[in-house]
Formats: sequence, structure tokens, C-alpha cells
Amino acid sequence: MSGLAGLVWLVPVPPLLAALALVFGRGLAWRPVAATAVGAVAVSLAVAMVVLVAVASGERAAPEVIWGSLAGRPLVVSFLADPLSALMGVLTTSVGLVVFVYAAAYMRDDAGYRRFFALFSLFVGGMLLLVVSGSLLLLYAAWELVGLTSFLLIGFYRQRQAPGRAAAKAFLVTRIGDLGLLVGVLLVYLTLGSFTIAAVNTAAASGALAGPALTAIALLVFMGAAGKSAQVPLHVWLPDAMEGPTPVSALLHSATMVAAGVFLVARLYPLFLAADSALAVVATIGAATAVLGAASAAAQRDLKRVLAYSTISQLGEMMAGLGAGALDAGLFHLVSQALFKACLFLAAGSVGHALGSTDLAVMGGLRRQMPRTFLAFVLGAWALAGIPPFSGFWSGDAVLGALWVRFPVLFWVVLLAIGLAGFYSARALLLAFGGARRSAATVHEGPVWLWAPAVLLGILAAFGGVVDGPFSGRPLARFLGVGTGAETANLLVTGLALAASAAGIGVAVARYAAAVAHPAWRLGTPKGFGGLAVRGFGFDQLYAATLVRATGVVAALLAAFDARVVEGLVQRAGLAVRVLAGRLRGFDARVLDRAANGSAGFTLRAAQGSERWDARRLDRAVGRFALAWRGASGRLALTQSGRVNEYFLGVVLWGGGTLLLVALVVARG
Amino acid sequence: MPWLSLAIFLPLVGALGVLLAPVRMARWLALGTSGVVLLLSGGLFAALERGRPGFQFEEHAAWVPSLGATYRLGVDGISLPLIVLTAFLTLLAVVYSWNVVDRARPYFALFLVLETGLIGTFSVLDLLLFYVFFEISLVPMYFIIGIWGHENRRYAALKFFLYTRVGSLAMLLSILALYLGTSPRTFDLPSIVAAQPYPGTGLAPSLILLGFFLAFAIKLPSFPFHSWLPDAHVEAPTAGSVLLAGVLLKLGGYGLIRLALPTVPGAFERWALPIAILAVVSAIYGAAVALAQPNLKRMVAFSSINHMGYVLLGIASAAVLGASPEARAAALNGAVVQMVAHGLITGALFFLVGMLYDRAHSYEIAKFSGLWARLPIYGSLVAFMFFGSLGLPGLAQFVGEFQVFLGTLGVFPALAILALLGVVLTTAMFLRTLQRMFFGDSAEGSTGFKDLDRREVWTLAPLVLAVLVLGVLPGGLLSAIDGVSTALVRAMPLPGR
Repeated sequence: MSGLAGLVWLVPVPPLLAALALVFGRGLAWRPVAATAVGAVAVSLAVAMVVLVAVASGERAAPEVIWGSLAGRPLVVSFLADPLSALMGVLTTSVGLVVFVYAAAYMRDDAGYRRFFALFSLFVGGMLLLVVSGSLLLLYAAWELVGLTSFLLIGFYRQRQAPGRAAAKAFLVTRIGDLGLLVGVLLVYLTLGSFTIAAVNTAAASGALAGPALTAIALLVFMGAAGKSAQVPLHVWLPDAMEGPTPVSALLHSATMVAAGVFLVARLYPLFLAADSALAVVATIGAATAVLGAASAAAQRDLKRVLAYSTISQLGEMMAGLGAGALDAGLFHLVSQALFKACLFLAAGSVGHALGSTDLAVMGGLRRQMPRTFLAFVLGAWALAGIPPFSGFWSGDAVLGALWVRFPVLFWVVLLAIGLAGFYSARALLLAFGGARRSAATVHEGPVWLWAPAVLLGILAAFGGVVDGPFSGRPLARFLGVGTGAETANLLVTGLALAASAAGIGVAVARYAAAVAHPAWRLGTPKGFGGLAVRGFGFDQLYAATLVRATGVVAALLAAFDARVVEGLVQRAGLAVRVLAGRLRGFDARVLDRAANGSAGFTLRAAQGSERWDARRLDRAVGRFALAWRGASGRLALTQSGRVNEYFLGVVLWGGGTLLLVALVVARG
Repeated sequence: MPWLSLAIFLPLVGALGVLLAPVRMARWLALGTSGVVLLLSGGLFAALERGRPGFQFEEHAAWVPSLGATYRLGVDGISLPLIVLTAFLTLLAVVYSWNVVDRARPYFALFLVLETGLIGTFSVLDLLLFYVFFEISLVPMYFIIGIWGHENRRYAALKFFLYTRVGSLAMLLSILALYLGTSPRTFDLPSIVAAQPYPGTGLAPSLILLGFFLAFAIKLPSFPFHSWLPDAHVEAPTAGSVLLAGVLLKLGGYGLIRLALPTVPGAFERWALPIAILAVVSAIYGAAVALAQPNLKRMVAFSSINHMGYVLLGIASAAVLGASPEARAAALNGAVVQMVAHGLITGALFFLVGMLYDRAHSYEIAKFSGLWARLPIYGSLVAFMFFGSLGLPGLAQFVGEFQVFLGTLGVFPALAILALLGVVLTTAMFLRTLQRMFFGDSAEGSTGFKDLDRREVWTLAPLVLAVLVLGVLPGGLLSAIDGVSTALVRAMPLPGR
């Protein structure tokens, strides 16, 4: 069958329509609301599958419509069906579908379920639109739509302040990156005269786009990617973003929002490949993010915060992989992380639902009360820890393999992050599910829809990785049509990765396995380096003390300046006018006189330009005007205290007077 | 049919009717008149021939032949959208003010007189007539602020009035100079533009530019001529603020585009960089000062200074004759779209601020919290317009800002990037306000508030729709503007010629 790839524009449509329907679906019961939202994502998944199959059979499509005109040129909005968009479309919709089913159960008792599903649908629709965009302009619009909906979803519980703060922070921090992206997009248009992604990639690959412009565009685009994908130093919004409902975290941390940045770099990959320095920046930032995130995750006391910092770390690894020139490794890690992180968040949500808290201090021993959630969490955590044959191992290995070839120093940094991943995965597992219960509350497994989706994702996460392992010939690289950073398995790299993971897990087991067996054991408050790590190495405090405070101070100073100086000058000028009007002498009046003389001189100059002009006549006219004006002002002042009819009379008189006056001037001329 | 004359003077007739009609009928008459004017102007916009250079729906009649002053009207893709905006906001102001009881007849009549002044200003092609309408639009607003305003209304009204007067007198001098320099003498704008009486960058054209700039920079307003704006806004009644921010400020941008840019292009180019710098200062300054305001209405007022800074930036970029015509056209497009979008969004914001005042009798940001959970419709509409105002793609203002930045990046790259700082500040400001006022527990005293009633929803729904439609499908508006601005920047003579 041919032509099916052209359906790619249809992928985001069902959730967007569902969102629209739900916004106006006042009073709808939970069941139709959930059915609409879940059904829409399911339809999207079906369309995305069709597109994927078509693309896999070699089809490509770039449907477009003319949107408007820009400086005389048609403005085209286009879509793109290629391996990358097909892969991401299926990933987003499949993980999305599972999370939506979970959300239907999770949000059942929330009074705002309709608002939730409207926003959640819009969120997924925005992400899908981003994925299938063929033009940077459309991509940017979708990019901001994802930002907006993430704001509304993180701030979903609006009866509290904290979600509002987290939501505002997320939007503002990512928007700083977005503005970089915007400038990048504008530069693309100014240099190439086009917004289409294909044009950028072709120009970069052929060398038509080169030099500083190329590097600048790549770095600006990466700025946007760094914001959405929570790369250092724009990562600070992500740990707070879990203030939203758990399904939001599950999707935001896996196949949507944070994936967008990695996707964007992949989308414009030829641009980065052509700019060595930009690629090095991507790899370095990625590696730094990986290790900072992992170290912070290792110290967190809240289960969701462990996962949030872990996401930051994993995103860093993806970027490092992309920066090392291995498109397939970065994307492979994106896919496997999406699966296991969604699984872990759903499991954490299930725990939070049962326990009313995600604080690790009050957990322990949950494996007995919540065996199914435990199963899901184990699958996800193993994948995260990099234990073979679970997916995280394969994709992490691919990233390391590419780094080994290209950036040996960064290799060791990311290796450290992978070791830390082993540690914090095992730690979280032990603290939450291992040992004895540390609180007396009785908990039990939630309804099937709260644990089954997590288990399903866990199974996918566990075994999905084999598909693209080094022993299956790297089908992803072939599908994407790229060379890979590590064509053959490097046993040394694999060995080191395994050793790092094993070491991390070993340390965690040695430290916590025996301890948590005692119900009286308490999770200590980390101090020193650990304390620093808990706070995410103080980025928040740093920003608060510098950027935020400086902005506040400057704004306050300017406001004071405006109220005192600018306003003061105006008052002075007002005074001057009054003084002049009262024919009193004084400095202000003299200044104004001079100005008046100046303008009179100007009038004269202008008058000299013509032969027939009689300056005196003009003077007389202006003088009459001024007289009338002063008279009108005086009358105005008198009538101000009077009744409205008088005011109105004033308007008519004034308007008529002006007209008359102008006519007079004109007639005499 | 003299469609434009009809659109200009129908509100005036309506105003007379409103004054004479029984009180019960007055508001219906105002509603009907403004509705018909909106239909009329909307119809003209639909009928506007896209891509055709020059003015359309022209009317030409003798006025004062001895002086070369004529009654000449005509619109194009730049002025007509602003006329539709005027008619749209006037209608909504009437709807919003439906329950005004305090001297309702003159109140509605003044809004209609204002509409006449504004539509007239956007329609005339004769400089003397322009001056007349420019002035006429000033008076009703003076009384709207001075009579129906808040406590300090007299001061604010007078300040607004005097400030604008100073500017318009400067403009009058420039107009006279243009008149005198053209032979045969004429106030006819197209003739003056064709004759180019003050080519080059010398003192005379620079002074003419200064006169225009003073008038229109005060109107926009641009830093440092803005200090009338916050006072006027805070004191004005809600509907007055809406028209003030929505349309009156646009007279500044429109005047620069229609009068200054084509009559003294050489001088404008010479001073484009300083003007652009002033625009960026204005944009950043407005945003920063807005960020520090404890008063919600003042905050929105200062945010207007930020947004109008982008308008000025776009116009200044378009004035650089040597730059790429595409970048200049984009910048000019952006300035016009930005004016329309700002009119809709900030107009809506002033309605929303007014609706809060109607309930709480306060503009103090610190007095509110948790409004969103209490008033879901109100909260969502505020959030919608806030995001519109901070330039979210898919909403109208992005279409304008995007093009201003695109064009400016091609002309003054460093300034374009600096201007983005204003966007960051605006984002921070709106988000912080949203978080403080709309999240959390309800503050004491705000528990009794009712969510928006039907009249209020009907006031805002058309604005929401317009902001969304212009943001998602800007083609209709862009095609009208684009042809004109492309022709305009190409028609402007290159330096040295």
C-alpha cells in the first residue's frame, strides 16, 4: 500500500480534538470523559503504527499546506513522515495509551477529571504535533504548546501554592531555552529563506550552511533542547515538576516533554554533525548532566524525587550519546528510558496512592503488601540499573560505546553516572520494598488499573532492549539510516559498564540490605556532600541568590526611578507649563521660551522653503489658536465641577471649536 | 456607497441618538450602532482586495480647495485591521458597560464619539484632517477618564490630555512644514509622499521626523514619554482603559507608519538606530517596571509599554532602507499585527482586571490568592490572556512578535536579542502573578466572589475567539497587511537616490 505515510499529519489530531471536545463537555461523567481521552490516544497509536509500517517499507512523505504569507513569500506549514517521526510517534502514543489507561483509574475520584483529561490530551497532542512537524515554525508552536500544557498539568492542583510555583518555574526555565530555539529558527529563515526541517538538514549536510552561522544555529537549537530535556544548567525545573498528578509525571518524564529536547537534536542531527564544536558541547553538557543528576538521585529521600533526578541523569546520557555522534544510541536510550521510567513512575504513583506519601522514610517492606507494584518496580529498576538483559543495559552500553570512540574523557564521566544509577536504583528498591515496614499504616494493592499498566511497561522495558542489542545487528541504526558510533560490540566497554553497575548495586546492598531489615531503622538526613546532592548541588539557591534577586532588585529600582525621576520630571514640566501660562518668570519658563523660540525658528525655516508664505499670517493664526485654547481650558476648569451636560457641551464646543479654528487657518491661508 | 464615511459618522449620529433617547433605550442604541459599525468595517475587511497596492474604498471631496486640503479617505491592509479592531472593542465596551447607571447616556455617547474620532484617524489621507480626528479622539477619552474614573481621575485625565496635546502640537508643526514644502501646497498625503518634499537626512526632515516622533512616541507610549499611561489606566473606568490600551495607543504606531515613514524616509533611516535602541529600552523598561508593580492594573499598563516597544522596534527596523526588503517587510508586518494583537489581548486583560475590581474593589495583587479554584472560568480566561500576552505561539500576539523579531534580527541583530530579555521578564511577571493570585487557598474576603456572569462571558468570548483565530489562522490578516508593507518598503527610495 502506498501513500499511507502521508497520513502522518493525522497522528496528533485525535487527542487535539478530544481536548477540544472535553473543554466544552461540561457535566460529562467520568466514563465518557476517560473513554474519549483514551480512545483518542488509541486512534493516534493506530495511525502512528500505520505510518511506521509505511515508513519501514521505504515510504517518505512531507504533506504541506500554505498558511499565510511572510514578507511576500508563502508561509508553508509542513509535516514529515520519516523513520524518526514514525518511531517517536509510536513511542509517544504507545506509552501514552498505557499511561492514559492508568490515569483513568488514578483520576477517577478527582473532581477535576474532565479538566485533567482535556489538558492531558492537549499535552499529548502537542507532543505528537511536535514529532510530526516538518517545519521549524510548526515545531516551535507545538514545542510551546507542550510547555503551556505542562504548566497547566504541573499546576493541576491549584488549590495549593507549591504546584503553582513548580509550574511557573518549569515554564519560565524552559522558556529561557525556548527563546534560544526561537532565535535559532529565525536565523535559519534569514539564512535559508525557509523554515522546513528538510531544507536545514540538506543545507547543513551539503555545506551550503556552514561556518559561524551553522554553529550558532546548532547551539541556539540546543539551548531549546537543553531547556525541555532538563540539561544542566536549565535542569532545575524537573525535580519540582512532580507536583502534578502522577500520570503527568509518568508521561512527562518518559515519552513526552523531556523527550522533546533529545528528539529536537535528533531531528536536526545533520546540523549538529556538521558543527563539530556544537556536537562537543552537546556531549559535554550531556555528560555533566548525567553525573550531576545521578549524584543527586542517589541522595534523595523521596521516591518521586529519586526518579526525577534519575530522569535528568538519563537525559544527560542520551545527549552524550547524540553528542558522540551516535544517533541510534541516543534514541535507543530515549526509547528504553521512556519505557522503564514510565513504569517506575506509575509504580511510584501506585505506592503513593496506597500510602498517601512518596517519602522513602515511611516505606519499607512494601513487597509483601503490594506484590504486583513491586514486580513492576523491580522490572523498571533493573532496567534502570543497567542489569543485562534489561533494556537500560543495552542502550546505556550503546551510549558508552560511542563515547569510548569519540570522547574518552566523557566516557568515564558517564560510566560514573551508570555506576550511580546502579546504586540509586538498588537503594530505592531496598528502601521502598525491601526489609521491614517502618510505619504502622496498613497498605494494600490498588485496583488492577493502577498496577497492571506499570507491569506491562515493566515487561516491555525489561525485554524490549534485546531488540536493538549489539548481537541483533543494530536494527535501529539501519531503520534510521545512520551509521552507528559503535558498529560492533566492544567487550571492554560492556565489561566496564557491567562492572560499574554491579559496583553501584553492591554498595547499595551492602549499605542498606541489612539495615532496612530492622523496623526501627531510620533513614538519616544526609550531610556534607550528601546534603549538597539532596539539594541538587545548590542550583536553585544559586539562581535565587543571583538571577532572581538581581531581577527583583533591578525591577524595584526601575519602578522607583519611574515613580520618582520620570514622574518628577513630568511634574516639573507641568509646573513649567503652569508657570508659563500664568506669565510668571522663572527658569523653567525661560527654558520653555527657548524651546518655543526654537520651534518658531523651525517654522520660519520651513517658511523659507516657500515663496508665498506670510509668516505674520501664520503667527496671527497660531496666536488666535492659543487664545482660543487658553479660553477653552479656562472654561474646562470651570465646568469640571459642573454637571455632565456641561461637560458634554464642552466636548461639542471644543470639537466644533477646533474644526472652526482649523477651517479658519485654512481659509486665511 | 461612501462606506468609510458611513463607518466614521454613523457612531456620531448614534451618539446624538443616545443622548436624546430615553435612558432605557440608550444602551440598546449604543449596542446597535456599534454593532452595525463592526459589521460594516468587517465587511470592508472581507471585501478588501489583497495584494493590491494603494488605497481602497477611496472617497474624495473638496474641502478647502484654496489650501489643498481635501476630504480624502482611503484604507489599506494596515489601516483597515485597526478600524475593525476599533469597532470590535467599542462594541465590547458597550456590552461590558451594559449595567452602567451613572450618567449612562453621555457615557455611551462619548464612547461612540470616540469611535468616530478613531475610525476617522485611521481612514483619512489628508494630513489636516488627520490632525483633526487625532484631536477629536482625545476629547471623549478625557471626559471618560475625568468623569467615570477612580479617585484621582481629574489629575490623570488632565495629564493624559496635556501630554497628548504637546505631542499633537508638535505633529501639527511637522504637518505644516510638509504642507509648505510641497508644491503645489497640499495636505494630501499620497501627493506629499509622491513629491518627497524633504528628501535626504538634513535638519529639516529630521525636525519633521522629530515632530511626528514626539507625537507618536507619547501616544504609543515609548520610554521616556510614558508617564501619563499608568495614571490614565489606573484611574480610567474599565471600558475606558480597554479602548485606551486597545486602540488609542495604536494611533502612535499607525501615525509613525502612515505619516512619518513615507514622508521623511531619509531622516527616519538616519535616526532608525537611536529609535530602535529607545524601543528596546522601552520594551525592557516596561517589562521590568511592570514586574515590580503591586497593583494589577498598573502592571498591565506597564506591560503595554513593553509590547508597544516591539511595535516601535519593528517600525524602526522597517525604516532602514539599506537592509533586506524581506526583513523590513517582516518587521513592519509584525508591528501591525502586534498592534492588533495587543489591542485584543490587553483589551481583554483590562476587562478582566475590571471584573475583578467589580467584585473586590481592589487592584492589589497581594490581596488575592487562590482565585483559580474559586473562579475557574475567570482564572482560565486570565491565564489564557496572560499566555497570549507573553507571546505563546498559537495566540495572536506571537504572530506579531515573531515577525518583529525576525525582521529586527535581519536589521539590528544585537537589538533583537536584547529585546528578548523583555520577553523573559514578561514571562516571569505573568507567571508570578498567576501563581500568587490564582494558586493556593482563597484569601480572606474573596470567598464570596461569584464567577463570571453571562454578560461578562459575552464580553470576553469574542476576544478569546479572535486571539485564537488570529494566532492559529493568521493568513487572512497577514495577506491583507503583507502586500501593503512589502509594497511600502519597496517603494521607499533607496539612500543616495
